[in-house]
Amino acid sequence: MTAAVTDRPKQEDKPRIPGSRISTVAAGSEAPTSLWGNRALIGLMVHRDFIGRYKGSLLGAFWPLINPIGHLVLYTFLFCIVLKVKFGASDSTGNFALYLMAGLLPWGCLAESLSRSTTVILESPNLVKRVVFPLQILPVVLVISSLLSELVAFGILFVAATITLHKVNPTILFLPLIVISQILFTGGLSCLLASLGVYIRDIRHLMALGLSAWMYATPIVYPASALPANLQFLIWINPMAGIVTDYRRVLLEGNPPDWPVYASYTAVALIAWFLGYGFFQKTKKSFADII
Amino acid sequence: MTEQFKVELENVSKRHNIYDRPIDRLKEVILRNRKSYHREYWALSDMSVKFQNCTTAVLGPNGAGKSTLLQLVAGVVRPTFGQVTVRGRVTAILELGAGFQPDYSGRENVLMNGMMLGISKAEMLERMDSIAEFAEVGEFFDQPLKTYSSGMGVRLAFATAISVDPEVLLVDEALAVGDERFINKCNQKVRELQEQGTTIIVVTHNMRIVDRFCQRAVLVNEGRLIAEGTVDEVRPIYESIMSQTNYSQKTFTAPVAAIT
Repeated sequence: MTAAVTDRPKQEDKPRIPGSRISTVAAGSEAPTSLWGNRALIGLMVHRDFIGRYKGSLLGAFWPLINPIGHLVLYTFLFCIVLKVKFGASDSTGNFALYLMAGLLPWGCLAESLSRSTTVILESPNLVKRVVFPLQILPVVLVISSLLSELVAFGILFVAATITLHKVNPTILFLPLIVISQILFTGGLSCLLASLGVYIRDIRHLMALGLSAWMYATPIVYPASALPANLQFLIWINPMAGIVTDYRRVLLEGNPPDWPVYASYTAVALIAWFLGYGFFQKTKKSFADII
Repeated sequence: MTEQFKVELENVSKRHNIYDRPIDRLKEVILRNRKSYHREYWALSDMSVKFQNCTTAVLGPNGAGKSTLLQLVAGVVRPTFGQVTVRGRVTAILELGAGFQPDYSGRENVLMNGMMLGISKAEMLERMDSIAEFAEVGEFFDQPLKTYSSGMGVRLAFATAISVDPEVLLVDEALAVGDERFINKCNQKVRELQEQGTTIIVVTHNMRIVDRFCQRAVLVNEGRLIAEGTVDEVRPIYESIMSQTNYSQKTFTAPVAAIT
């Protein structure tokens, strides 16, 4: 082949078909695309994210324990000793702090996942532009990482409930069912926001306001029964309301989940997951062109 | 010519759509071709080139489309028209510290890079020692990447990219940061890879690197293929283009059939 100035390509009248990239790799050495295929990578990044928050701090790995214990003590002091608030029909003064925690913990997980997911793609231009990276794992990593803090705190809450209520609730065995619904719901929304956050930069500023409004529409600082009858529908349309109520039932009240409510928020969670994840997968191709 | 090359581009064009606002892009994704909200910029037009199993330099002035070419081969961006065919595992060092996370330690970054290519954790851990040795980052291997000097980052990126048995290796400017000793070391490693039949594509402006590593060259200008051949054949054309280039008068033309 000699070096010659090649002619400009000839004009062709045939219609253009969209470009493609064909990559053939020896069998067994393909880069995985599914979430399951990337589980080792997800594990590494979750570990890094979870540990990384406390890296360099003096108390290190104790922080996931110290935070919930500290809040529990704080709320107990404030609401049960100073203000003497009671939650619903319960007569034990220790309860309000526990009820509040059972609501705040899953809420904290959701709020953290959603607000971080709006910038997670923008913050990793290296992974978007320079390598072929399974970007869909980024929002998933956020969700799992914040869920880990929630589960550690739930452990503490369970111990505190056992001590103050003098009974062990075997219904804690239902907890994984609710956790799965919460993961799917949070994961779906996080994927959606992660993708939208690339196109619409205003979203991250909207999050603080939106999350506050949503939080007050969820029975976290008040019991679900305190909602007036004409607002009870919120329990059915807001999956977080059902999730929070069911966490209280299995952790504190010793009741199984409210199955019709469980079915409704699990259905919403599944829809949220498939739509959110699907939207992310569809839009991620153009991330590299934007960032 | 019936021989199959590891990297082939066939009538490849890449259009960058320029949007005034990011939301316009979302509208197009959702509404699909109903209405156009962008202006066009053709980074590559109708490029057909086959990379032989040797080390090829991609030459051209700034903005000629060299980096876009590598991104297409790496699979980071998709061609607008045409077909890119890549046979075998590709590793790429596109700009400094490609795909590295600044907060992760060198070790974690290497592990992550391997996993992204589908290499198991156990296999990566086995190669870890040889990577650390080649990169010569010493105790920094367990420090966050953001504490590295740019030379250390490149050494680590290079060590990772060559240690995972690539069949195609893409290098964009990275070698320019290495010192003489590191370049010599790479030289030796590149020869080993060449003996294993690795196709290497290097984008650089440094003719010293071209002379040392490359057997062939591809010359690109304004998104089009100008020449290809051995380094000695392409060099005079490259030099004449470089002496003529006037950046302010550049125009970027679309492939003709795409306009209709």
